[in-house]
Amino acid sequence: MDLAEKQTGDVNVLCVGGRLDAYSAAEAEKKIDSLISTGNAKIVLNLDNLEYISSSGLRVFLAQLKKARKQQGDIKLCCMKPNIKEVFDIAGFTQLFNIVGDESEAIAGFSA
Amino acid sequence: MLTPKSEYRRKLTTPERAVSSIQNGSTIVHGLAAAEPPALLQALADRVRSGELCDLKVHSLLPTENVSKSLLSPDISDCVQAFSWFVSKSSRSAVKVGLNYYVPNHFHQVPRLMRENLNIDVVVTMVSPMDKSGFFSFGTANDYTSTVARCCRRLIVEVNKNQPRVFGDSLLHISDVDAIVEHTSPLIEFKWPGPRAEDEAIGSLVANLVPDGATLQLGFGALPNMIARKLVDHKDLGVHTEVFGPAMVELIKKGVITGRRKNLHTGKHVFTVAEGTSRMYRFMHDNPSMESYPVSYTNDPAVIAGNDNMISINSIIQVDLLGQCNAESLGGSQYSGTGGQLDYVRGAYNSRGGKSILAFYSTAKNGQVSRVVPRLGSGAVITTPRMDVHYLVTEYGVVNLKGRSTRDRALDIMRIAHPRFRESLLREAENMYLL
Repeated sequence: MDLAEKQTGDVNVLCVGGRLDAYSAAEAEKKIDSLISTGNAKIVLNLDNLEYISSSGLRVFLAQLKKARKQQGDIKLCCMKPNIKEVFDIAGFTQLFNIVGDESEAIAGFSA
Repeated sequence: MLTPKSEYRRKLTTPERAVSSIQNGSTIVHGLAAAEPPALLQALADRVRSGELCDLKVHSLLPTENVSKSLLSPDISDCVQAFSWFVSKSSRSAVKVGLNYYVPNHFHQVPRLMRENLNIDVVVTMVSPMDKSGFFSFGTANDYTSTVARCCRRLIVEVNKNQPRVFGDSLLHISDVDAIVEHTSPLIEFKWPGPRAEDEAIGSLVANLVPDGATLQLGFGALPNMIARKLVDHKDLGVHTEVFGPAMVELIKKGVITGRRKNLHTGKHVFTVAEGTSRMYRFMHDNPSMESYPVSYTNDPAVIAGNDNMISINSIIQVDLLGQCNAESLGGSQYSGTGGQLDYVRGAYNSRGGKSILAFYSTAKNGQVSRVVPRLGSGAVITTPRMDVHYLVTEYGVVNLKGRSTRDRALDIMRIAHPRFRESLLREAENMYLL
């Protein structure tokens, strides 16, 4: 799994690539958790290069979404490939997250 | 000493209080299907949602909407590890993406598997109102619930006036209960798709295999229920079944099912779980002819074989040319479960005069896909091995595979495939050196 971080204003963008599975979920969790713990609870996850997500990855995203929202933040997802979107749909996660087409729309969502 | 009434009053509480002592990391088993207790499940889900409770392990079998909308809701799936011992419409999606884990089992072993392997903290289930002697009834769900209710650390029951009071080994004394809540709501109803054109032929072929005086087990789903409708001209049938369903009620009311010729529980209609309509649940209530027992008894192949002319009727998804039957997986994913299919396939064959029948439509997807395949696909699960298969029935005929060679059974199975697929199946059988 690849993780790359950048910041736009007060929004943190995390680009998640490769496979988010049982082996890599803890690393993703640690990264997102560290952002939220340091007060950066406005997060965009850019999933453009994400090839695969398992139930471990889904659980990490959900747990961190709750943490972010507790701090008046949010986790917005963007650039999902169709196979990743399908997993979210099947899991019933599409309704839980704010999912948009591209990164700029996700960032703009925080100032709406 | 407390009277049942005073003990009831002492244990009566609200759903919120009843679940308030449940700890993080608890293992919870809930009542099956129509015995899912909605108020308790909602109170538990509310505690999880509020952040008070996490790391729960929740065990279901055929989860329905009461649990899928509460404790198995996707928004708390980070705090609830879910296990399905039979996959239903409500859990299929979660199982497919690994948010709910299927537990392979033979249904008759589930009480033992849960008792010996789960270390159960809490059981929540629905029961019928208490009688004057202090007994509730497990009603529609005896199955494994009656066993785990007696070996868990804390048993919480939800009393529902619509839950039928059922006889047999279905009673639970108030002294075994830790907390009681009252919540009356309609029981979950089970409905199946309407009849298909092939049902007429399949129903008639199966009915011809059933002698007068036979004892029946009918599987769960549309086809077995349709088959029951073709049995209206039979005499003195009996019921020893896993799932009691609405079609059986009609046959009892018409005097077709009497149970008179059963060797075991003569005159009684024996089951372990009931899934049907409110009309059916009312029929069951306080009806001395209805007896439920734990699934470790009803589905024990040796007990099943105890009735002469035991006929088990179940459905499958597909069969290959070797005779291996898949009744539980679709496209490599877990679609349903083994349930009690093999319990009854083996028990019925061992009964004197008994038959095990696996019935299925010859095609799927509006006739585009054959359910008879040369080989089961990658990831397909064998529910009934070829050594166990007795009768197979489609709308094109009946075959008996017992004692048949690989060549003969391949030819027999092709004979009940849809004619459009027979030539390609024949070619594949040749490629497999079966002919």
